[in-house]
Amino acid sequence: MATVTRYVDTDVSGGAGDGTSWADAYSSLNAWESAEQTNLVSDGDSHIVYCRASSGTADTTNIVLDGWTTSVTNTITIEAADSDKASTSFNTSKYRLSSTAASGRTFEIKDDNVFINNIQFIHAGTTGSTDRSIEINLYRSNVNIDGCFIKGGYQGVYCNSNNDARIINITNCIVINTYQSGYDQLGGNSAGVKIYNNTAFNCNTSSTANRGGFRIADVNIGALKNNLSMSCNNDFSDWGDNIGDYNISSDTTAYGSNSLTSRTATASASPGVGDWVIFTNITGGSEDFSLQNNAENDAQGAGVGPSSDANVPTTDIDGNSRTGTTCDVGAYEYTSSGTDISCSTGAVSVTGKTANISAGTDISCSAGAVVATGVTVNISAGTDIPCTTGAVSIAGLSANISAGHTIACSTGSIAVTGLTATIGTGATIECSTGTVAVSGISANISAGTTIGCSARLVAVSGISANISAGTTISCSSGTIAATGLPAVISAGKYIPCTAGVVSVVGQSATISAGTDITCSTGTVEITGLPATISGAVTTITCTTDNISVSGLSCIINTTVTPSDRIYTIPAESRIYTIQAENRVYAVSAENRVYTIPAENRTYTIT
Amino acid sequence: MADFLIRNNEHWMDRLTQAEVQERIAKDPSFEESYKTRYQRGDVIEIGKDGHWADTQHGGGKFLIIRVPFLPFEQAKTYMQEWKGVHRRRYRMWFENISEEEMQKKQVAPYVYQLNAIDELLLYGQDKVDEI
Repeated sequence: MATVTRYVDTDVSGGAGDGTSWADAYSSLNAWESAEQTNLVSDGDSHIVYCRASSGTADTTNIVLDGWTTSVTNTITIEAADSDKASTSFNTSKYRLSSTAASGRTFEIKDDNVFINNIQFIHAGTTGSTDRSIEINLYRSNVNIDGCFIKGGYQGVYCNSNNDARIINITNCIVINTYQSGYDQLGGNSAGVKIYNNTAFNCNTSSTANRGGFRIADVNIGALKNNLSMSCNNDFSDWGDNIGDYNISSDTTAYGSNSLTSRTATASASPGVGDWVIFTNITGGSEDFSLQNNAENDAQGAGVGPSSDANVPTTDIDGNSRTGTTCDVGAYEYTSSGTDISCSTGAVSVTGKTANISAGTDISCSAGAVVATGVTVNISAGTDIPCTTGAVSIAGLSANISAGHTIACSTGSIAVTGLTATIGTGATIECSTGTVAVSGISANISAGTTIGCSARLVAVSGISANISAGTTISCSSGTIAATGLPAVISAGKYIPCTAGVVSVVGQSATISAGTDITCSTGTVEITGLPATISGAVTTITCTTDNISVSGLSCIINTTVTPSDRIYTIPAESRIYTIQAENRVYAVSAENRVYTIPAENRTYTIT
Repeated sequence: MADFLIRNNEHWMDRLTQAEVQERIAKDPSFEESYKTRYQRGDVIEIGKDGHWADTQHGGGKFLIIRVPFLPFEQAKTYMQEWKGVHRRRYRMWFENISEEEMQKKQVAPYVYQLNAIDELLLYGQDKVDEI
């Protein structure tokens, strides 16, 4: 099954307008929908469209998603580009669907199997009863709305529930400033309707009865948990059916033995002792609904976590991880920098389009694996990753270990793989008996890096494999190999290799000036087109074994101590210069000419 | 002062036979409205201000770009009206009544046309419902 990928950019200039790339993007989501409607089941495809506003222009055409055929495996995903994902603040420089007053529904969903991720919506309507940002049509199922920020309108998300079985998931969303309910008509006599970790703020500004931040329409809703409704007129409205748990309200309407009521929203870092939900900013027009880390913040840790309820989304609106038995209530999960992750026998996995381990994080893994995988993987400065017997793997289109890291691996392996794989300045990689591999189209070990490998392999391979100036690679009994087009060990390297092999192989294999390669009982090989050992101060010492330089062009341009020279020169290439006093001539008898002094002559007279 | 983006290709539902349509409606009654309101060739997809779409942005012929320089943008937006339960849009270009020769006279680039009068769009409205 294939995934058809398309792009929408409201600021696209020129291009083909067929959505096949950012350069050829559709200029609106509506244009995408009209052009791409298809029977995904018979096509055997799923469809994903990424949306952005590269210069901040709003997408102002309402959209009706209808006219497709889908299934649970042939789905439609509408998602903001990484640069334009909705967050805890509404951002007018990012992609947003924007509707004017009395223009009706911004986004009407009339197909099944739809995912809407990280999109911003803004609606100027107030009194128009269909001025909704998102409406899920009657009977629609497997509709998933995650990480969206919705501002204004008559209602934010309208679920249109009725008494039928349907699957609706609304997670990690923020709805503010709606005329009536933020999340309306939730329910539907189905355990498949799940409303988790959403935030509502200043909803039901009209103070309409039986409306509120969250309006539950039916007692048989699947679950309503970890939701935060603050400063709304009637935070949770459920017709007295007493729905939900682990929710928080500013009034008394949050039901459930684990819910908290009568909380006050503030942005003060020091509100004093009290019942607070502390956001970063609640000033109108500048709202930021991330949570402050504060002992008085009752939203922190008050929710049920994914270890206890599998329906809790494992990431928040910003992609921060939720783990364990508790989590924060609302769309945002507070995450500190410098988190320590200890893993005795399991795995630590950081995966995503952007996978980041931030500065100051320690990841210790005794017998398991540390894996960071993504399109962009960053392990930032100051992170230590000691891994006793497992594997440390950093893989991605761009895989970076920044300056100042220590990655210690006693018996396992360390692999950095990617289109660009870089170990930055000052990183230390120690591998007692395992393997250190840096591979990729561009594999770089930057200046000042120390790679210690006691008994195994240090391999740098790729189309461009570089070990930069100042790098120390010590290899007691293993192999150090740099392979690629070109493979370069730059100036100032020190490669002591006691019993193993130092191999530099490639179309251009170069050991630059100032490099020391010490190999006690092993082999130093430089092979390539050309193979060059440069610089007056490069020293290659090989006590009991071979130094081999081979290739179409082999140049040794360095100083080697006489006692260590071993040359192999074909006979036809030999040129001998012998001083006269050392010459020994062999002359055949018939060519001999003798000069005898007169006094020594003996004549025979016949 | 306004550009129209017009759908130029058939819809995949156009290939369904009536028996197939009825079969789908029997399984899912909501399909009937989806079938009626499917996008069809000639439907107004979007209205933009003058020059909103470059000559190349016709999506490989999926769209026609109609430039109507005399028509104010705010007035042009009225042609985006929905027609709930009947058609996706109330207005569409009536290709059936436009000759190829007439179209060629107004063509300024592949899939791009410039009109001098609104009647040249031959957008039908409610009075042409019988001819749909």
